[in-house]
Amino acid sequence: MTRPATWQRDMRGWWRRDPAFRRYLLREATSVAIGGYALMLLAGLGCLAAGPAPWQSWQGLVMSPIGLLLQALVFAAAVIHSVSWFRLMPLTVPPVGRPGRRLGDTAISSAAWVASAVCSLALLGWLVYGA
Amino acid sequence: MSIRFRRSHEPLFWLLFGAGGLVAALVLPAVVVFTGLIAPLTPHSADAGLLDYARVLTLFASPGARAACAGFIALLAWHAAHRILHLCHDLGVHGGAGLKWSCYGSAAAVSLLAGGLVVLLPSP
Repeated sequence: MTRPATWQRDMRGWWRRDPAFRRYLLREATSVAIGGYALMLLAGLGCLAAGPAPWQSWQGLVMSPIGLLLQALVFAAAVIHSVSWFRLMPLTVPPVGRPGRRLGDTAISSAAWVASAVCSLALLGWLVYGA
Repeated sequence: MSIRFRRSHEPLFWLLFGAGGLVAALVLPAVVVFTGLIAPLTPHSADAGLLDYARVLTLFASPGARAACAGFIALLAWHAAHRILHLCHDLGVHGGAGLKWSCYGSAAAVSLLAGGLVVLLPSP
């Protein structure tokens, strides 16, 4: 069956219509940086498994000026991701608490930020002092 | 003609996307600060420093740390794959099944590689 020839609104350049659309695109685009960083970590894991010499060259690449610049971009993307993820969290989690005594949006977001701080500090502590 | 209703695969992918997004939101900034700021700024040479070969192998000596490392990389990949797929759609690139297979296939490949590599890591 063919599609009936109804009018369809032109969606070209839809992000130009509203700043909120551009913020949405920015939020979604953080995934490109996050995916790239995952590939960087995977390459590091491969080099670590391959031996000291490959690991040394991976480390050199990660600490090179271009590597540090790319990681600065990844850091910006990661922060945008965290901010938007925790801001949206009240909409995505099931209601917390009994009816009439529901946990508010601000409380959910704040709890997520506290959890993030605790997890981050624990992980950094392990990475820096773990061995 | 009878209509066959098929269950959607979407919940499975959304679950992996959500898990990856949560893990990334919780600790990814800290991990990037470690690899991109703390490790380069602390004194390091060929056989000393936070990213020294023997030291990193010691960090990943335990099965738990290896599983966490592989799981972290895999979840980041699933998160990115799902969002990139939908980002393409939003930007007017309707890749269909091929794009879907490439996105989720890449994430599956990253997961398998990460899982295999942590098993192959030498003991310190």
